[in-house]
Amino acid sequence: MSSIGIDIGSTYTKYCVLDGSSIVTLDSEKTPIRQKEFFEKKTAELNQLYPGAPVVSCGYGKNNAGSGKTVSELVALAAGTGMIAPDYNVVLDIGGQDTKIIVCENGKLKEFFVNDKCAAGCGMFVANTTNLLQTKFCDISLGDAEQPSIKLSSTCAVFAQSEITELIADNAQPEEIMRAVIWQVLVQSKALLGKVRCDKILFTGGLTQINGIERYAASVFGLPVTVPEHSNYLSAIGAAIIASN
Amino acid sequence: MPDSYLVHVAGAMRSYYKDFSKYAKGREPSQKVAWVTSFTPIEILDALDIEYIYPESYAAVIAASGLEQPLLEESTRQFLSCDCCSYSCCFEGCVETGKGPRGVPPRPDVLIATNNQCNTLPGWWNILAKRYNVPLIVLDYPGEFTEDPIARAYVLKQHKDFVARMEELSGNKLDENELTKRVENSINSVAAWKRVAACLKEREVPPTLLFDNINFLITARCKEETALIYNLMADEIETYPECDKSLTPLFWIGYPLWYHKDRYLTEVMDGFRVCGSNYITWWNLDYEGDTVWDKLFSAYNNTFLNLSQKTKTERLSALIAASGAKCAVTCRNKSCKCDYVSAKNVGIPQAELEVDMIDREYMDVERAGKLMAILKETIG
Amino acid sequence: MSGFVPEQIADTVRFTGFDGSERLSHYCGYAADFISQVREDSTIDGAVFPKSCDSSRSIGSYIDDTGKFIYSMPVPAVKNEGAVAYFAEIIKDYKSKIEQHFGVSISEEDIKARDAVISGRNAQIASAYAKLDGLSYASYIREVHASLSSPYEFNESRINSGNDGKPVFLIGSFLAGVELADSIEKAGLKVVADNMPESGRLASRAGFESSESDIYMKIASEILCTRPSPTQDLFDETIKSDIAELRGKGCKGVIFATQKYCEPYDYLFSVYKKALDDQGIPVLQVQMADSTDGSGKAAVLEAFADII
Repeated sequence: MSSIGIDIGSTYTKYCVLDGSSIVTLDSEKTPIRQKEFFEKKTAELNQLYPGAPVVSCGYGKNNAGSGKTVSELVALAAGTGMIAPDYNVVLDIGGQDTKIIVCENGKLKEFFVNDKCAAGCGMFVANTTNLLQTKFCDISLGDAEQPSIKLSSTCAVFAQSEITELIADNAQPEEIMRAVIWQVLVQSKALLGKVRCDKILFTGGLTQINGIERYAASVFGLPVTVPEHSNYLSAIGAAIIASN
Repeated sequence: MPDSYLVHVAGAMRSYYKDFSKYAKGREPSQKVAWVTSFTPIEILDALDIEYIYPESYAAVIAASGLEQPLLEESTRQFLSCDCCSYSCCFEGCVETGKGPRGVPPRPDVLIATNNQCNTLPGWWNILAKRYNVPLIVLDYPGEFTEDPIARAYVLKQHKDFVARMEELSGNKLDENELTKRVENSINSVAAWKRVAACLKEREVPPTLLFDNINFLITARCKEETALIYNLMADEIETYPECDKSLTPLFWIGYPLWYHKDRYLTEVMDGFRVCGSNYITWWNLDYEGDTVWDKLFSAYNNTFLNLSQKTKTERLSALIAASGAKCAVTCRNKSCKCDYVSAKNVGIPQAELEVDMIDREYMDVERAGKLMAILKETIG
Repeated sequence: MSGFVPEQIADTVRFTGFDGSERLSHYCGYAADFISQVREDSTIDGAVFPKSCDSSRSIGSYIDDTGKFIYSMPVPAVKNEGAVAYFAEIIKDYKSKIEQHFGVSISEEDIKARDAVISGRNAQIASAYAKLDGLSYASYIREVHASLSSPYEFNESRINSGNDGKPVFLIGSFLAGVELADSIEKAGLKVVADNMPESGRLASRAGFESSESDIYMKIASEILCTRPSPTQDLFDETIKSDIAELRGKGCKGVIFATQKYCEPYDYLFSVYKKALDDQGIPVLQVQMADSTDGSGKAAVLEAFADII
């Protein structure tokens, strides 16, 4: 019996279709502006492809995904972790708009902490920097795990933007600027890590697509960091698991 | 007709506010007036017939009356940073403008600050001293950071010097029997309050009742009437129906939100009920010792925020366990970094909310609602 | 951290700044960087800090799991005979805790010898402080910072001479972001006097005559009874003596440079500013985010130089 999980994030929407405990398909697309209309059509399409499959949605736009059940993306993240990386209890998720850390056990959420007040600690800062540097997210490569040669003095993403503009004008290497920004985002996340006891971290969210992020993050946190398979889809997978229960 | 605590509450309030400008109407106080911080050994002042007023409490009253915003703005105009404790900003605005729900407190003859809850209070009292040009006495309590014999000798000397200065101010001589009586009253007040607070776990008691009525333990604990008020209150609320066990028991870590009509975020707590709070235990002072001086040392040196992190964690964990709470709201209070850090390692899922206990504009209620929803799903 | 911690007891490394990763909301960035260094720097075996402000009294809570030597020093909030005697006992306790933790023995002779070195260094700082109008303040402060750790050597000959500039008075918390001093000079200003913990306040210890024969009482009284910190609750004394000094040295304005979320200085500023306004003395308030934040203030410093 199929089940469907939809994670409607601020930037991307992720889909997972499970058949029992096997992943049938994983897919993603940009989250549209007119969400209600779009997801009405989308869920109708999914119903046609997988008749009778229960749907659970999570994420920012979860209430736009029709009349199916909704869960918090953190509960879904815990469920997804239970399936994909059951040896991990602590998950750090850096999303477009916020950063979360969860403690989970056997797929169940036990504790959570969220930082959604500081743009310097989430993916939006990186996304804005790619615009300034006129690069693409998929082209970012972090190289080695050493601390970047540039240190941003602003801990605020708004002020850092003008600092980055100055660095560009001073002909600083775009790769080093990007490394400095990502370093900053990871350092901001460290404050959340301090709230939980852990000896290894599972790292999920949009930033995990960046080449070299695992070693880079381990260098910042001083702990082993693992980016799991399907790292961007854990919440969608978790939502599908919850749908199947 | 049974005696109701409400009658005594009204009397206690009238007595406390009698010299505030709204009621005094130009009449000078009949006693010398001290402005004190919440963990000042007021037993000494009471025994010397000195009136004591609590600016922190009045700031809470101002917020509860919905009047804090213009006063906070005024304090910024007086060059007081909005990063400072909102109690101080709100009160500064009050005394600068002369506006408050009960007017302004009677002018102080002396200012007494302690550092057994934070180091902000002495700083704040310094600016009051500049405003009123009156003596400032800072009582220094080392807390658990100093070995007992050293701390005890230091505090005892300060208390004795303090007595001498207050005798000079009041023109009265301290009678140790009177002091002992007041310490006994404080002990009785604490015991009676514990009866009241114990009802929160099992009875249908609105936390608002406790958050509001702890006021007497703060401002009048050494007065005989306080124990009477609390014992009558306990007699009444011990007969309240049992609490709704279908609701998730939650521990409120941190200050009440004074500006809120319920003093906590009822609008986002559907499905939860507050079964415990650490704030309502802060004034359960421990008057231990053989002599009255030992008792005062024990009570005022070892206040909760003057303990080591280890002890704070142990006590808070024990409180939470005793309450039966399955989860907690942790108030990350912009005005009190000393309180927030005590919530490390509480061992149950918690929703951390960014709050300020005075400034209603600070809280993002929608965000709080989202975090409470996640907390609910976490508990299951 | 802090001039309240007696340097005479053991060789300590004075915290002067660290690029740390601890981020604590509404908390002094300087203290957060201190926490970071204790946690992250493996060459640091312990931390001693004062219980003198809201941030410092909480430091222990953030490092108690490191297993390192931790000493939170309760600094008296007042300055009288009883406080001095108490602080002397605290200093003895600090000594005995070091001995227990590290398995060493510190004799009174050791302490007296170190006291002589520290007193010598303070005297040299005081001598340079008296000549600030001829020195580069940025160069002077860097030399002071270097002398705060063993072997406590202060060498005036290493200080560059200063350029011309409009004379100003600097008051604030420890100048970990030393680049601010560079920016002050580049803006055409010249610090000729200050109330900084590592400079004006430390220099005041050189002139302090103690009649105490007991070394711990001598150290305690020197720390407590010289030029006060805002955490010692003597705002009146601070304001009066600062205004007298800045007038005496012909200062055209005051720069009030502190860490953000430093509540003792925030409270002081609210009355300090009014006192300066009453005297017609312009003041510029500058806030630093953490111990490495000393740059980015050029525009406001230049504007201040224009108006004074």
